[in-house]
Amino acid sequence: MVECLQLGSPLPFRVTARPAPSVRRPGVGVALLVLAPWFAVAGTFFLLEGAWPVSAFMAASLAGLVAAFLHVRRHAGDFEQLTLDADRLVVDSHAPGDDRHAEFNSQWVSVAVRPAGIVGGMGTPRLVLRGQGKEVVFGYLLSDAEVATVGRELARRLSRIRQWGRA
Amino acid sequence: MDIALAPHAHDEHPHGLMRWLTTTNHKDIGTLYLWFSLSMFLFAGALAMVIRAELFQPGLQLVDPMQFNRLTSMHGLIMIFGAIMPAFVGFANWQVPLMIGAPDMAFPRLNNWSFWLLPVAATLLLASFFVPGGALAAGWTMYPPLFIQGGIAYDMTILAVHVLGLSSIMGAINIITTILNLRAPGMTLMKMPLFVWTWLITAYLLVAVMPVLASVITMLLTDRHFGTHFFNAAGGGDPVMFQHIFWFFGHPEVYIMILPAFGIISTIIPTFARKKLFGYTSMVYAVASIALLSFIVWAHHMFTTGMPVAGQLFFMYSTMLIAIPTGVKVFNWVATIWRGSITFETPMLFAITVVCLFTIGGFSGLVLALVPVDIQLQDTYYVVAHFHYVLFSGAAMSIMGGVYYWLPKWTGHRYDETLGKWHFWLTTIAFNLTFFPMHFLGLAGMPRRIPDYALQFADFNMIASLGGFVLGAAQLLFVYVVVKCIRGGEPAGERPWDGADTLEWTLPSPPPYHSFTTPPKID
Repeated sequence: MVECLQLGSPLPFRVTARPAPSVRRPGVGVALLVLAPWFAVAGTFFLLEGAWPVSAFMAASLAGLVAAFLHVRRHAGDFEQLTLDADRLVVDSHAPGDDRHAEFNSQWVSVAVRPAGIVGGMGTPRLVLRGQGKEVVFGYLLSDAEVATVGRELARRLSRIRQWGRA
Repeated sequence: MDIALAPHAHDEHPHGLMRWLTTTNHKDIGTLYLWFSLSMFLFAGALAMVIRAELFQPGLQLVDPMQFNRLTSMHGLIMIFGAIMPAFVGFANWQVPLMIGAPDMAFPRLNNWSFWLLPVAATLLLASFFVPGGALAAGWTMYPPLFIQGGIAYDMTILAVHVLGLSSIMGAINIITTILNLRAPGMTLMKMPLFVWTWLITAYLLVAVMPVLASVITMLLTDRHFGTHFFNAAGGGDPVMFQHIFWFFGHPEVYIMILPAFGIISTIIPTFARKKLFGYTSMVYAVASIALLSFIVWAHHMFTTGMPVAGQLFFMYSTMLIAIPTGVKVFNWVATIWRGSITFETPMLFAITVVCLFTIGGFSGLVLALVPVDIQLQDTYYVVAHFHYVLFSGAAMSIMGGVYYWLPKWTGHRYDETLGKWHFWLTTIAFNLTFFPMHFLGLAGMPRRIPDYALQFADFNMIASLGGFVLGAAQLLFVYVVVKCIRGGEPAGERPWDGADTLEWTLPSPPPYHSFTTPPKID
């Protein structure tokens, strides 16, 4: 789901992750319109014949498909961004109804990759950033491999900043 | 400067039982679907062996007539909903993300749920053999009024089919969303491999018709227990309306089971002919046409229920119309093979055989589409021969060909080619031995769903039973080849078939647990 992943050099170091929907808004309309008229005709026919549950189940099925597309569209603009410069590590994220911004001191922030799941140690790995009394989880839009790579790269650059004052 | 992420950087995943219970990985879930399908195939196949043993000679030998009806009903139901459909969903799970360059399915957790509903439904179906009154004996089509009069097993069947339907709808929504939303940059619709196209159209068919099945069995349930009279003539209902609604689902269901098979064949043939698929665009339109036409032919299953002549003519002609897009596909497959640098590895042998035998099944379908002929052949063994030529040599043998084709990619090992060819020849010969004589039995008037028959049918039935036993035994060889390949063998390399050119062959074999985490660029 990652469209853009920039590991820029040397500073600021920035990672941006976005979902990459390959269908545009008109395409979604067409995808749904393929079924809607058919359901309308067949559903009405069976309704008139007295088999009204057919219409109800068809509506439920179409609603499921619409909900799936709405979910994808709703999250099409989501992003997670991590920006590192010599002084600060900034994490921004956007999801519907959930905009987050967090800043850490580059000298003190700790970075760990750990599973964030429900069954002990079995969940999806995420990048966990800790410092100044707060904890931010990064990488919801990254795959496991990308989380690991970004984690390694970030840890390497933080180490260089702390050692040499530059990444 | 962009730094490319190494795809092999992180290939860790949970192990043991929890891996399979909680997995959201499309490859794991695809594997689960395929194993589930294989186990159901073997179980329903075992039921078929008992059926053929009973029919080996006239008279009642092994089972009483009621038990025989249970065997035929459950054989059909389990083969359709437990073996063929889950197998194709397994292929979709494995191959669709790999072929479109997606990291996984659009809704991985939904995917996990879609699979784990299947064992629940299977348990209900299998448990129904042990409840008072025994399992469903009213045929896989569940026609009332017989179905309404059945015991508790019929309620278990309704619940099982509901759960299977829910799983199918969830899976179909997931596949549509994945194909439309998660294609790699540059992978336009008309650049998608034909297997992906066939699955996109199949998924639409599933979303369109599974609610119809769900509704009709709900009406059966309310007729049985809640005093409604949808199909109860005594209360003003209409049993024929059940058939209309059921076959409104049932005929597209046939295409749900055959379109992905077309996709597999359209993938295998160009690979082993070492040519591009002939007429890609026309293939896409042919698949879409078949899907559309499948909605307006349902009543050809009901010519003997009594319908106006105009209705008979409409459904006869619309059914015959399907031969046109199907003919386009067969023509394109043959044209792809024409002057190709063909080699005959096991997947190609299966693919060519599918084209030939499915065409026989298609032609017997055309025969059955003719109203006056159908009235004679309705409920005879000709129909049994027809749908087995479509569903076994069309769908099941495509699945076998697909397994041989992608097994090196999935496991990282080459399968045993000699044993694969043995499996192919045994299956093909035994299949024809089993089902070709059924055409003659049907033409001579032998009815289906009977455990005993007149003496003049004995010879062909004996041949069919012998063929059936060999066909059953050959599938054990298939299981052995698959297990042997999983356990080890010659390394397959990235691209074991030199004519293969879809995206999955750019990955190592087996592909990493997380593949295409960085989308490939399609030119």
